[in-house]
This record gives sequence, structure tokens and C-alpha cells, in this order.
Amino acid sequence: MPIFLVRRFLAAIPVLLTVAVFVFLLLRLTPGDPAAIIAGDMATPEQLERIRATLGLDQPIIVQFGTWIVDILRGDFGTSLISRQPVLNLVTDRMWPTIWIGLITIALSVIIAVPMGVLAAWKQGSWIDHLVMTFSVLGFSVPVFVTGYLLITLFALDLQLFPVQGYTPPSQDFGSFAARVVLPSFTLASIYIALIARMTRASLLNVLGEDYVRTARAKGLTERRVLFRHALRNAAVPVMTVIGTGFALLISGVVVTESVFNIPGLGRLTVDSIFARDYPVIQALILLTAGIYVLVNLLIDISYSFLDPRIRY
Amino acid sequence: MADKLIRGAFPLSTGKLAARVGFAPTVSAIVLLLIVLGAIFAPYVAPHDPIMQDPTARLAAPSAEYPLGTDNYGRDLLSRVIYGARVSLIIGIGATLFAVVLGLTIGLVSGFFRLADAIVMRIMDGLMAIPSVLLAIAIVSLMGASIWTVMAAITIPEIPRVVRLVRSIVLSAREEPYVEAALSLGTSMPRILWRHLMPNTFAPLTVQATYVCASAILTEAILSFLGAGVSTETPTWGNIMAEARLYFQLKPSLILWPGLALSLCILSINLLGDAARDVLDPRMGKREA
Repeated sequence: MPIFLVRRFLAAIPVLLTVAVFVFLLLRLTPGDPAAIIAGDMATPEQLERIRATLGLDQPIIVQFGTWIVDILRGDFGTSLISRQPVLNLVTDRMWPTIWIGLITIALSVIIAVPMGVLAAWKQGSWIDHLVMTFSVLGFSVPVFVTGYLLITLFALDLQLFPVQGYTPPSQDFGSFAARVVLPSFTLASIYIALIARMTRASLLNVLGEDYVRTARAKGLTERRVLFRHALRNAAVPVMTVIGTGFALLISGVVVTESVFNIPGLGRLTVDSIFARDYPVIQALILLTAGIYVLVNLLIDISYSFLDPRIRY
Repeated sequence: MADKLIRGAFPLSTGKLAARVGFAPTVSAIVLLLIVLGAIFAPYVAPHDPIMQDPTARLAAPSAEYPLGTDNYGRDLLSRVIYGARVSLIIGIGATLFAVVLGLTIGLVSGFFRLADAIVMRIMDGLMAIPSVLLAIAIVSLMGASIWTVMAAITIPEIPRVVRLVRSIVLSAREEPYVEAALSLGTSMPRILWRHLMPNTFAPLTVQATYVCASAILTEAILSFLGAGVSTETPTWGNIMAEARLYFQLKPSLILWPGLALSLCILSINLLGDAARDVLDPRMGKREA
């Protein structure tokens, strides 16, 4: 493995460690007894004692942190205070709806947004360009849940093309899965499409002014070849960056979208455990999402060096 | 003569404003002004008390009495949407002020002192890696929901973006000859930060502040929508929509009107931010900070 990859990989460790410290301290620094906060006002002394023992709250804070980290490295994310199940099981039970919707959203966004951006840049100043830019501004100004309800009203209630809410696993009934996944994916994709289309356009416009594009045109290449072979590849790095930074929006969007469409995924699990003060699950989920975010951005950084061999770390 | 002088002093305040700033930002400014005025003068603008229930008119259709209809308790939707702007705007403006002041301070120190920089930036990277909505609901659910905790919960995830922007400006500005000159004259450190480095950040920060404001209003709405916002006794666009979820299939307009108000508000702020960027710094890319 090239040395720059190793170095880039190692740089992700302090970030995750910071997240871990932050998540850990969040509960401990909250005024009051963490066990009482988790248990609520109606807790009996035995319940409090059990929670303290489960979380190891009777030990010094450094020891608590150490045991927690070591357990995580061993793959033990703790036990849910509500369902008494290992957190890892809860996560694996609930992750598939989220993974499916996430993947479909990303694929949909790239397939729709990149051609939109290319078209807008190519026909700069035309009505197509204006249309794309208008859509793009709307896309990240209209909140995900508003988009969601708008799509439900139009396509599920008025036109009755899709079911209103709910989720079916693809293994159980693929037709039902496909019908139920369309609206949530488009809802979630609206922000991403906006971001990617806008960045593709800006980046391509930048590149189209370069000397090598003029050279390519001067030597008589077709406009299409100039656009796709010479310009687009060089315009790809900022587009990849925005896919990475937009990933945080995607995660926040998943939480909201799953609530709007009643999908039993990780987003719902997160919201439910936060309201139930199921602290081991909250800790694990925040750490997990941060880990995924860091990993996605790591992969994107690595992709730069394939897109543009001049980039090294 | 006097006319020319005035025009020189306030280049944008006279003449054809729309032609200079553009059509979209002008409309945005007007929309935003209407929302702000509506929020401030809500008691005079709103036709009804937003929490007054009319049991005889539950889920009523729009009428002269209730222009947008009523909700499941028979409360006037239009009045609730007008009052709902108050929380959004207070939190949007408050969170922006806090994020800019804190982010500016941390960014200035971090950009200038190498030792602080290493520590501060690791913390900021960590904060950036936690999705803002998750971080905010976690904070609110632990600290309890009041307007202050909600504001804090929304401000904290916004700080890293401001810090990174300020730091990047300070990093390049501190190499400038005028900073070196000030140092060699024995100028004190706080004075260099305050007088020589901070002014460089004003233009980009103004632009960034509009995006932070839009993002804060959005996060507040999401928190309220998920049930982690300010108490439902105070109507907010988010909690009006949250309460309407059960009756959504019966009456979609209960969710769509507050959604429209929220979207228009965020859209206007974003468009004004774009306009500010074009005027203040044509080279800065959107949301790259």
C-alpha cells in the first residue's frame, strides 16, 4: 500500500478518538446523576443501581472510558438499557432499510445530478442552465421533510402511484420494496442532487476555461469528446469532495426521512433511543455514523489520486 | 450636486436597486422582511390567538374566518404559521451570532498560535464528523428542551465551519508584511489579532453567517419536527408540522403551509447569501469553507 494511503488512514484515528471522547463526555458532563437522567423521574433505587453497574458509573471516569474503548475495539458496543439486547444486534437488525435507501439515493443522485450539471455548464446562460440552478437552490432550501410530504401528497395521496408509508424488505417482496423505496429515495436525493449538480456545473465551467480544453478543441476533437474525455475527468475532484461533505447531510436526512416515511431503519433507531435515553445505543450509533462519515471521506480522498495522479498526501 | 454626493456615499441605496443587485435577491429581501415584520407584529397581523381552540371548527376548511383552515384542536393555521416564525427567527439569529462570535475567537487564536491550532483543529474535525442533527437532538434530550438549550444545541455543530473559515484566512494573512511590521514594532498579540487579522475575515464571514443562519433555522425545524424542540405550547413551524402528522392524510395542508413558510424563509436567506458572496467576494465558492 502506498505510503500516503497509510498516512491518510492514520490521520482518521485522532478524529474518531475525539468523537469517542465527546460522545462519552456528553452524558458525564450533563448536570445531575447520569443514571437518574437515563432512568427518568420514576426510577426505583434498584433500577438506578442496575444502570450504574451496567454503565460502570461507580468507577473513576478514566477507567470507564478505557473499558468502553477496549470493549468497542473487541466488537462489544454494550447492551441496550431498554431491550437488554447487545447494541450490535440492534444495529444489524435495523441497518438494511437504511443501507438500501442510502445506496439507492447516492446512485440516483449521481445519475441525475452529474448530467444536469454538465448540461448546465455546457449550455451556460441558457434556459437549461437557469432551470438547473433554480432546482439546485430549491433543493437545499426546501427541508427534507417538506419535500417528503410534498411528494407523498402528490404521488401517493393525489395520484395514488405509490404507497404512502412503510417498508418491505426486498427478500420478502421485491415489488413492494421497489414501490415503497421510490419516494423516500427521491426525497433524500433532493439535497444531494442539488449539491452535486451545482458543484459539477461550477467545476466544469472552471475547467472549460483551461488551455488544454482549447488545445483539444483546436486539434479538431468533437465537442462531446472534449467534454467527456478531457473536461469532465478533471472536473471530478471537487464533485467527489462535495459528495463527501454532503454525506453528513445525507445522514441527517436519513433520520428525518425514516421518520416521515415510517421506515424501521437506523435513523428511527437513533431517534427512538435518544428519546428513551438508551445511552449505550446512542453512544454506539453516533460513533458508528461518525466512523462511516470518516471512512467515506477517506475513500473519497483516496479516489482523488486515481482521478488526478498529481494528487499525493 | 447633493444628490451625487449621497449617491456616492450609499451606492446601493439610490438608483435602480433591483438592477444592481439582481431580481432574485431583491425579492428574497422583501420576502424575508415580510416574515420578520409578521413575526414582530404577530399580535396585530394574525387574525386569531394561535393557541385559542375552537371545538366547533376542528380541521375546518379555509374560510373567511380561518383563511388557511384550522388544525385538529380548531386552532387557526394562519395565525399559528405567523407566530411560528418567531422561534425560527430568534433561534436562527441567536445561533448565528453565537456561532460567529465563538467561531471567530477560536479561529483567530487557532490560526495564529501553532500549539493551540493542533488541538483545536482535532476537536473541530471530531465535531464535524458527527452529523449536526444527531448531535443537536442528543444535546437537547440530555439537557432538556428550552429555547436556550435548543440554541446551544444548534450553535455547537455550526462552530467548526466558522472556525475553519476564519483559521484559513488568518493562516494566509499572518504571512503578510503588515503583520510582520506590526510584530517588529512590538505590537501586542491581542492587538494584532484584533486590528490586523480580524478585519480580513469580515467579508467572508458575512457570507458564511447567512448560510449558518439558514442551516440553524433548518436544524431547529428538524428538532421541533422530531419532537426535540421547544415545548409545543409555543408554535414553531417544525412542531406545527409534527402535530399535523397524524392528520396528514386527512388534511395535507396542515403540513404544507408551515412547510412553505419554512422553505421560503430558508430559500430567501440562501439567495441573499449568494448575492452577498457575489458582491463581497466573487472568487469564494459556495459552501466550501
